[in-house]
Amino acid sequence: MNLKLSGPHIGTDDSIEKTMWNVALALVPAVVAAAIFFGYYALFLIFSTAIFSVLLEYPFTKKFPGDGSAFVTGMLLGMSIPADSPFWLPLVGAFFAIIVAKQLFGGLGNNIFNPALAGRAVIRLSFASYFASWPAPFDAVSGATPLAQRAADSSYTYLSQNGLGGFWHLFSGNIPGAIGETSALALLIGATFLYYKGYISWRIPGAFIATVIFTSILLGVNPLLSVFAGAVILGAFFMATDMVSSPAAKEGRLFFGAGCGTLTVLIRYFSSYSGGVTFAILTMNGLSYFFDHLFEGFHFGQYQIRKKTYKIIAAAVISAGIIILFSYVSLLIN
Amino acid sequence: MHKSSKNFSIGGIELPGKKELNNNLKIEKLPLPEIVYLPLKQHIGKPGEIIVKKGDYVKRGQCIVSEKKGVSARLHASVSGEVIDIKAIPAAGGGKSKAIIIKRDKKAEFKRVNFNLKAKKEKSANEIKEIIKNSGIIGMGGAGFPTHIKLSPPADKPIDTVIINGSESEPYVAVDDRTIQEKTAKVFRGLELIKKAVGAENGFIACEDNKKNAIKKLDAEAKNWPELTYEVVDSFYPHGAEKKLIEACLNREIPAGELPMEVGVVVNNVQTAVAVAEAVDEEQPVVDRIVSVSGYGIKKPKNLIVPIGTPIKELIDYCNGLVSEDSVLIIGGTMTGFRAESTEIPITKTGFGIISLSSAEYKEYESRVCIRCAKCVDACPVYITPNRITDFINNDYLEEAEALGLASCIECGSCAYVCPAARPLLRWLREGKARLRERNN
Repeated sequence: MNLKLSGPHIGTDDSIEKTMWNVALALVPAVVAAAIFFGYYALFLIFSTAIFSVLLEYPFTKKFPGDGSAFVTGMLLGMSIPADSPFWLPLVGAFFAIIVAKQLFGGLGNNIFNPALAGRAVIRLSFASYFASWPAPFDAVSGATPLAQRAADSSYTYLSQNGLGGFWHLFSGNIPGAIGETSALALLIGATFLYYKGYISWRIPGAFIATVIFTSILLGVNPLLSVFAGAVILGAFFMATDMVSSPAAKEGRLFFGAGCGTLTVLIRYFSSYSGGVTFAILTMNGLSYFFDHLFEGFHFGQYQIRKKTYKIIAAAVISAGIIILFSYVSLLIN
Repeated sequence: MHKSSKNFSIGGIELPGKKELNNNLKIEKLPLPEIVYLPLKQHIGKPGEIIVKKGDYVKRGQCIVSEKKGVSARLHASVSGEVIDIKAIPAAGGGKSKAIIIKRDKKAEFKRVNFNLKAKKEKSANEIKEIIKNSGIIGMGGAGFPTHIKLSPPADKPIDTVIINGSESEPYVAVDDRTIQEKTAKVFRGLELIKKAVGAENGFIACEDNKKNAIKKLDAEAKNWPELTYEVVDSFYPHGAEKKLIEACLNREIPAGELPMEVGVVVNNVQTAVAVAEAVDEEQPVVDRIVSVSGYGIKKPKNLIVPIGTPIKELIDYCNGLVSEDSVLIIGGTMTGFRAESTEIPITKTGFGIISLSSAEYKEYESRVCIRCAKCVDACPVYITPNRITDFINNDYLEEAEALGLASCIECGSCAYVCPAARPLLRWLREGKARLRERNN
C-alpha cells in the first residue's frame, strides 16, 4: 500500500495562520475597551509589543508577518501590564517571551511555557515597582487593584463598598488593573467568538472558572471578586487555552484547568506576590505533557474499564468533598 | 411519519455532503466494457484459488475463483468471454495484485433468470448462507468482509439485531441513497433474508437524514414488511462506520478489538443486502455493482451500474471525461479512499465511488509542526489522541502507540481532515497499524 496515495483528500480551510489571526481578532473588543478606559497610550503599548514580537521572530522564521502567533503573544503581553508602564517594559518582556520561552525551545509547537506569560513573569519579578500601583480608567488616580486591597485587608470586598453598581464596574472593566484584563465584558465577547469558531473548547476555561469559584468559596472570598477583579477571565479564555502549552487529551484539559483555577486563588491569597493567574498557568504549563500522559482517558470499546474507573474517581471525589465540608464546618464552629 | 434522528455522542465531524451533484440522477447502465480485469484481492482475508486458466471460455456469472479455508470469498466472471491472461495489474492504493483478464465475447448474451418469488419455497437459514457463499458476496460498503463468515457467528454469540447500513457519510457518494430509492423492496428483502440467516429478532435500515427522498421511500415500503423497520441518523461523519452506527442506533459499545457480533449485532451495507436478495431470489452472483462517479473535476457526474472489473477509464469516459488535466482522481471516498495512480485500475466489489476533485479542493499535506490544538482529539470518534499516537509512530515507539489505542483506530480520517497544520495523520496511523500487524505476525 502506498500511503502517499492515502487520504483524506479534502480538508477544512483552517490553518495555523487562520487560527492565530482569529485569536488576535478575538482580542479586539478587549483592545477597544482598553483604549476607552486607558487612552491611546494603552493602544500604543499593545501594538508596539505585538509588532516588536513579530520582528523578533523574523530571524527565526524568515517570514513576515509570520504565522501570527508572535503577534498574539505580543498583544497578550501588552495587555497584561499597567497602563502607565514605560514603553520599554513590555519590549523587554517580549524579548524574553519570543527568544527564550519560544524560539530557544524550538519555535511554535515546541514551547513548554506560554510565551506571553513567561515574558510577563520576568518583567513582573524584575521590575516589581512598576506593578505596585495600577492606573484606574479615565485618568483617575492610580491605586491598588481590588485584589490588592483585598489582600491587604481581608474584610474588603469591592462589592460591599460599591454595591450593585460596583459589580457593573467590575464586569465592564472600570477598575484599576492591567490594560487588557479589566474588562470581563469585552473579553467574554472575544471568547464567545472563539468558541463559536471552534478555536477554544469549554474544558479549560470551564474547569478554570469553576475551581476559582469553588476555591474562593472555601477560602471565604467573594467568588465574584475572584473571577472578575483580576486576570482570571483573560487567563482562562486566552492564556490557559493557548494550544501549544496546554494538554491535548480531553480529560487532561479538565485537570489542567482545574489546577490553574485552584493555584490562582491559592497564590493570590497566600503568597506575597499578586498575579496569581500568571504563576498558576505557568506552573500548570510545566505539567501539561504529564497531564496528557496521566489523563489520557479511554478509547472506544473500553467501557468496562471506564465504568470501573469512574466509580473509583466518584468515590474519591465524594469522600474528599465530605472531608473538606466536615473540616470547614468544624472550622466555622471554632 | 417523522422519526427523530439518532447520533453518537463523542467525536465525529460535519462534512460538506456535496450530494446534490448526483443524488437526483437515476442509476444508469454502463455499456459493457471490452476487457475486464478481476483482481483476486477483492475482500479482506485470503485471496481465493483460481479455477480457470488462460484460454478458457467463461460465462457471465461463472465462478472463476473459489474460496480458500478461513476468511475468503468466491469471485465470478462479470462478462462472458475468453480468459486472455492472468497477471499482476495496478491496484487501488498503490502496488499490484494478480488479476484474471477476460476479453468480452460480443455475441454472448447474458440472460438473467428471474424467478417468481411467490412460487418458490422459502429457504432455510443454512441454505441462505450457502447461497451467499456461493455468490461471492462480501461487504460492499468498502470494508469487504466476506458476508457468509459475518453471518456465521459462533454459537455462544447470539445475534439479536441486523442493521442495514444506508448511511454513507462520505461526500459526493450517492450509491446507497439511489439504491434505496430505486430498489427499496430488494433492500427490505435482503434484510429479511439476512435476519433469517442469523436468526435475529430485530432488523432495521439506518439512513442519514440528508437523504430525504430515500427516507420517504423507506417509510412507504416499511408498511409492507411488518417485522422490519428503519431508523434515521444525523448526517454526521463517520456514521457509515459500523461501530459508530451501532453506538448511534442501539447505544451499544463494541469492546476494543472485537467484532459487532460481540454485542449481538450484524451490520451489512445496502449494496450487500441487495446482493443477498438478488442471489437468493434471482440466483445472480455478484457481477455488477453501483458506482457514483462524481466531483467537481468530472464533467457529468453520474451513478452507474458497472460489471466488476471495469477499468475506471471507461467510467470516466462515459461521464464525458475530466474537467481539466490536474483534476485528482480518487477511488473510493474522499475521506478513506486512495488516489488513483492510473486509470487502468479496475472497479472491485468494494469500489463505491470514483471521485474527481479539482486541484483547489484537494488537500495537500505539509506536515507542519503540531500546535497541539487538539482538534484531532475532539474529532476522533474512537476518542484516541491522534497527535500523540502519530508522534510515537513517527519515532518508532510502537508499544506506546499501541497502549494509546492505535489498534482502535477506524481509519476514518476525521483527524487529518480538521488538522490546521496539514499533518497527514491518517497516513501515519495507517503506517503504524501496518507496522503493528507486521510485528505481531
